[in-house]
Amino acid sequence: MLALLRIALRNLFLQRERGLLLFTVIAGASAVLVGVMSLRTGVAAAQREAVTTFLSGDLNVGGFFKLHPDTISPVIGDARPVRALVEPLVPAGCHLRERGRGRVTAGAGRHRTRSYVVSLDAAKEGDSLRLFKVKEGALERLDEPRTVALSTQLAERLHVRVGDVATLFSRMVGGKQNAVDVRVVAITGRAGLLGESSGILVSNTTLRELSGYRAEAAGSLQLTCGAETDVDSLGDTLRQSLRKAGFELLPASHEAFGDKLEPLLREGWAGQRLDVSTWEDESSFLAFVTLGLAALSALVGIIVLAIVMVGLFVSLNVAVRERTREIGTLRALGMQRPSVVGMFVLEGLLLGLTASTTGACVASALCVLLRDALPLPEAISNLFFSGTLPLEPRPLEAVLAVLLITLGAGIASIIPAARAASLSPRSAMESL
Amino acid sequence: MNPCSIMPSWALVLAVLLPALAGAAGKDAAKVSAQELLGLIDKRMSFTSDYKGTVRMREIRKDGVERALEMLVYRRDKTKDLLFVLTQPRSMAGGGYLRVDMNLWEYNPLVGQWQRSTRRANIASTITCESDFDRSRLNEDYTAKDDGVESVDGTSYRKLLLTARPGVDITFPMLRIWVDPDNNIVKRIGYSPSGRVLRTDIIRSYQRLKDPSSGELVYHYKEVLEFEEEEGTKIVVHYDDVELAPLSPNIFTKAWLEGRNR
Repeated sequence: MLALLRIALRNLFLQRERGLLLFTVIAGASAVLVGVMSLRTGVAAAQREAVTTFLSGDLNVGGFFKLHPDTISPVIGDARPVRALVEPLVPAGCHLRERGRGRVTAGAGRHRTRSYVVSLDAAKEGDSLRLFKVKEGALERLDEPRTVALSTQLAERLHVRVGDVATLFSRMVGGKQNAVDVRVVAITGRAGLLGESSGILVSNTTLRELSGYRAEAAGSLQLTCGAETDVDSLGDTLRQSLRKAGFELLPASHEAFGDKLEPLLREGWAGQRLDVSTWEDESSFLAFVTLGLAALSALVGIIVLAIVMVGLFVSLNVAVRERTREIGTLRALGMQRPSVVGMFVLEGLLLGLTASTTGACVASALCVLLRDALPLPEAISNLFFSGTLPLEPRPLEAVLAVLLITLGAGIASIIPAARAASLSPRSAMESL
Repeated sequence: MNPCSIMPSWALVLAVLLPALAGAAGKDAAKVSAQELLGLIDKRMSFTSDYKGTVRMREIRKDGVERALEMLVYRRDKTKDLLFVLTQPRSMAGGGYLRVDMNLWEYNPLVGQWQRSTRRANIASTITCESDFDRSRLNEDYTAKDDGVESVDGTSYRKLLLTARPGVDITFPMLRIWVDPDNNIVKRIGYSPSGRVLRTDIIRSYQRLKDPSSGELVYHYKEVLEFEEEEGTKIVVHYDDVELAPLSPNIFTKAWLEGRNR
């Protein structure tokens, strides 16, 4: 085996030009694959951060209240018993926060725009407020009555700046329209597509006034735990406990609360129903971004593999033809057919492994260097939830890329190797 | 926006119209403080009688699209009642706005529903707002300070910078007005708190009316050009068919406006 490895290595060095070309192609292919995978991971991480900052906790206990079957509000009418039940179930390291949610129209002068609204308690949120990227003003001022923080996109659309006054229009619990003048106290930085769809932040008090909620009402109780927590099993535990306590629960569905409003409005019931959802449910309308990038990674993987395999196949075929004498000599000296196959396959595997490892290492290093350094155009930054290229290389993905390409190289070299092995010693010697 | 840039066009109009409105009060204008001047302006424009008038608006957008609107304005300043009834265009006819206490309610005749709006909100999707058709409340809403004097064609206009009093609910938190020697506002610019120009108004002409209740002469806008520079939208507002006569108290109710549509 060691002798075969030595022969394969020597052959690689003998054919320097061809070897270098193949090495470059395979390394480049590996680098592209690692780069795309880093981008997918980076975008997914940026999306999760944006969603759990703006829109949702890792796990949410929300509710829908129907005063009569023709109206619906995304609110828990009396959050006290729900909170009392949920609080003891919160795992260590998780935090419980109260966030409101709804749909409003924001207006300033003649400009109007519709968006989802998120309400929070600025004084109690403390550290999580720092996760918001504030471009102008201060989110702490949301504690002042009748104030609002707008995303950059909405502020631009409404032509307002910090200190200006906008008007929020919303439907109240009973179905009537209400309006409140609010002062802009902060403008948040770009948060991807969420800046367009959920770009309005107000205090819980302001949302209660706007939507006509009681003081004990809450939009949702959100648990923030971190990426390691198994939110699905925690969600099941919460569901069981809430059901046991006599609350009516909606069946689990992979939809954001906004997408549930219309179907629930058509249902004939009235009263309160609770809903337990994960951050992935609440951001299901954004899944097309990560799914798209996953599909892109798969496509790039297939193309890269095809390039590597075709390149190696052609190259080794030529090598077999050129090295007929050598094969004949080896066979005449007593080398068995499996050893000839092994020699060529080993050559392909060696080339694939070294080149793809080099490519993966270079790509990973470049991703680390370029992370958060390359600014993106607005349309792409909205899609990627980041103003800069969100690259997050992971060792496991780099290893996967190396394995995939090495395996491809190995497979590509089997047929040329088999062809070389099929040469009889006699015919090989005749070509001398 | 540089006010001087539009001076020549309206200065001519003012030069023709304003001498007719000149009075003894104007001669003392320079002597009064800025805040007292606001009081004088409010007094000249306040009625003790009820008010009914037709407001005709022609809106011209930057892209050249024109829109004409007409609405009836009912006002009772004693009780701070205010009602707008839209009469034109046909698609909006029957709708209106009613002020109840500090709230402005918008009526949609198509669904027969009242929606709470705010006093800052625009009227009938134009750049006008409630305060354009309400009584003059400058002295109550703003503190004023002198901002210099500007002369155009030999006429000196006193400039005042008005800042909203704390807690007052108004459309323009800052206002700059140009007042002629007869205490008529000839131009005003409304600013947002961040200092952005929201709207520029040129008061092209006033109408003089006799208040039957007090027997005094009062002044009311006749034609105002409102201009939103950012959007390039301008609107010409005509105040026509003004009647100062008692109105039925039933007018200032939701039921009255709903009843008009039945």
